[in-house]
This record gives sequence, C-alpha cells and structure tokens, in this order.
Amino acid sequence: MADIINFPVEEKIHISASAVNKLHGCMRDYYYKYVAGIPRESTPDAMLLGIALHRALSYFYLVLKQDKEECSLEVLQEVVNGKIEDEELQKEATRLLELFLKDGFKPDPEQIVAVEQKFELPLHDPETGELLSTVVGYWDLITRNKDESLTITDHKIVKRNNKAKAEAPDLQMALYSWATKNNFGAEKVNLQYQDIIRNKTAKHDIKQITRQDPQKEEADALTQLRSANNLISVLVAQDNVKELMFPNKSWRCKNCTYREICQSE
Amino acid sequence: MKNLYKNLSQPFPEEAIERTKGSVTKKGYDTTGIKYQYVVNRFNEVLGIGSFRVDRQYNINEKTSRNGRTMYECCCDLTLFLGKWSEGEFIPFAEAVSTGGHISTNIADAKKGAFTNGFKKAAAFLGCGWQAYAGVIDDDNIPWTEPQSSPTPQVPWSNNNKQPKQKKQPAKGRITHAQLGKLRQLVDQLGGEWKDFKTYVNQRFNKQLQYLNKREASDIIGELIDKERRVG
Repeated sequence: MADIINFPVEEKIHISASAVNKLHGCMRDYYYKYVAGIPRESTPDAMLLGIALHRALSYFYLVLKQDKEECSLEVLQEVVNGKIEDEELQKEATRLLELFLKDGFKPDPEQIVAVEQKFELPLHDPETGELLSTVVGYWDLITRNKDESLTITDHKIVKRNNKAKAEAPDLQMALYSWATKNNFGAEKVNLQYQDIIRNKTAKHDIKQITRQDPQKEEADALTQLRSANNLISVLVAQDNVKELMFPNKSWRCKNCTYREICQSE
Repeated sequence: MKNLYKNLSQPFPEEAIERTKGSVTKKGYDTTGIKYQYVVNRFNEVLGIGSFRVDRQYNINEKTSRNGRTMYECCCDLTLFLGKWSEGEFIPFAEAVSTGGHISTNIADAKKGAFTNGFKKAAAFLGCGWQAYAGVIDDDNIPWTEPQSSPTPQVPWSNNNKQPKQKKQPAKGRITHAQLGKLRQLVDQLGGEWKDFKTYVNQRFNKQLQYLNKREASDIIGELIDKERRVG
C-alpha cells in the first residue's frame, strides 16, 4: 500500500496546523470545512486581502530569487488585483505593498531557498510506527544564513501589533521547523514573522520567534497533531459525528465563513 | 449537439425509477436505477426510431451455487452508437462503450440482465439516466430466484458449500490508508473515475471520503468487490 503516499494530498488522510487550530477554535467549523467538505459561503475581506498579499509577496520573492531584482509596485498591484475586485480593498492592498517595498524583509537573492513551497511528511505513531496521517503545509519563505542555518519567514497580515505572539511556542511554526529539518537536512532553524500591520499608519515588523527548546517544541507540535488525528478518528466513528462536533459560540462567529449554515441548523 | 445532450439528460419521472433492497436482491446493498424501457423510450423520443444501435458481445461462465445449482454468470461488452441512416448505411456521430453483468439460473435471463445493465451505463455516458450513476453504479437489480424448495443462497456463485462469514468491521476509528488504497484500486479496476467516486461517497455519507469510519469504508469496499466479481 506504499503507493498511497504518492496520491494527491487531498485524497490522503492528512492534517495541517491550520486544521488543528480550527479544531481547537470550533469543531463545527472544522466539520463543515474538512469532514463534510462544504465550500465557504463567502470570503471575508480580511481573508481575501491576506490571500492576495501572500500571492504578491510570493511573486516578489520569486522574482528576487530568479531575476535578482525587485518588483515594482505596479507589478505587485497587478498580482493583487487578479485576486481582489473591490476598489477599496485594492487601495488598502496598495498601501500595504508600498510599506512592504519600503521596509520589507529583503534577503540577498542567493540566500533564498524556497518560496511558497508545499511540504508533505508522514506522521507516524511513535510506538507502533503505524502511518497515521500526512502532515501538509506551505512555507512562505525559507532563506539560508551565513552559518548554514535556515530561517523560515511567515508573512502575517494583521490588524494589531501583538508583540507577545513571538514569545510563545506556536504549533504552526514548530511544525514548519520540523518539516524544514526533515526536507532540507538543516540542523538549526530560525523562525520569524513578517508582520504587515493594517493600523492607521500601517507598520512593518520582523519578529524573531524566541525558541527555548526547539526539539521539545517540535515534539509537542507532533503530539498535538497525533492527538487531533486520534480525536477526529474517534469522532468520525460515531454515527452522530456532526452533533458531537458542536459549535463553539464566540466572537469569532461573526466572521465565520459558515455563519449562515451554522445559524440555520 | 449541446441541445441533444440537454434533452437526453433530462430527469426521469418517478415511475421510471426502480429501487431495490439488498435484502431482496441478496447483494447486501440497496440500488436505485432507471428502468430500461424508459431509457430506450428517451432515445426514441429524442433521436427518432432507429437512431441508435448496439454492438454486443457476451461471455458466459457457469458457476455453482451454494446448494449445488448451476448458475450462469454473463458479461456483456457493448458499444452504443447514436447516428442516422443514410442510403442504407448507419452513420454514427456518437458512441459509448460499456460492460454489464448478471447472474441467473438460465442463460437467457443472464444475457438479458447483462445487456440491460451495460446498456443503461452506456446510455448514461451519453447523458441519458446519468442521475442513477454517481461513481459506484449498479442497477442490475433484478433478483434471481431459485425454486421454492431450496433456500435462497447468500452468495449464488460460490464454488463451495461453505457459507462465508460475514464479518462486520467495527466502526472504530477513521478509514485507514490501506482501505483508501484498496478503494482506489477497485474504482480503477471497475473503470470508474476517482473524482466521481469521491462525489458519490460525499453524497451518500454526507462526508468526505477521508473522513469515513472503518466500517463505512469496509462496507463500500465489500460492495465494490461484489461488483467487480460480477463484472469479471
């Protein structure tokens, strides 16, 4: 059954950091998206802006790596406008792109290892060796440093400058670090957020993530993934899986992409 | 051509739909299909009489049922052509290839069942009755009957007298990679589209394939193996 590994990822039993975060946030949201596979009712502006800017930043770093030159604002605007139709949102994107071009993280082109690259790694049971799931994710940007260590940069388009975020271990980043070690054979991996903050004046910030014990953080992240995988496994075995994956009513509901269907049930 | 497809693929009335219970057909699963004559009527109404023809080839194997009765397993490979007659010659403009299968205690019924089974699938390729097919198709749903004196066998084509154990997989846990791989293999062997099969699973179980539980996965694997046996 080894060829299952070569299936396209959407056909595999797979798990990602965002899926686990969704499971923690609201199980019903997880149910709609992953279990039932219901398409989103709508895409909130903030999500649309985030997707479009991620696309533009990817384009910027790819051009930097391949042509060793920086893109102009006009080119990046064109990339963004391919995703966003709303004029107000386009203006907001332009404001943030100007900021990025002025203050953004610009490594030497030779340093760039990967841009918007997908990874797929097997998740095993540490005791039995059983293949539990496939871990999937996307690195926004990986760069190589002079000491041969690698740095993962994750772009975040946020409304507030949350300084504490970089001080606590993060599931997604710990997982990305583990995946980088596996795929690139790096011994040391640094993590950072590239925050583009959408406040009045707009601000750019690179936040180095504090790592006390990288190995433990990565092991903990994998444990979280296995636990989530086991929980899902138990839930889907029940006939009333939907009822068991109950909605978590919170402030998040107003921006939930399944708000209408959830309220109607 | 677009209009033709539109007309052929129109929904059928309720009376054209036949539903069978697995407990009656002894297949272990329920089926929903379009009655053969309604499919033929649709071709005649939309295309006109004589505007379709079928090339067919039968392959018949003898089997022995659990209680020693001779059974005939028939496989029908057919090609359905849509076309027009011109100067005494049939000129096709569309064709669909399909295979049907059926088992019966007499050869004629086995051939009839295999033909109609294959014909309906070929027709669905051209849009006619597509509603009945969502990846795992089966409307070969005429239950075969044995004489009253003998008990109804559960596996009519079994070559031995032992009744196979029906081991029910517990629902415990999520579908395994091995089950996922087996499903993919079976769908491939049956000539189905993986994408269509996933859609079928989603519609049937209200969840995505990779979120089936072990029992659901086991059930559907059993159905496909059963179908594969019949088709040969």
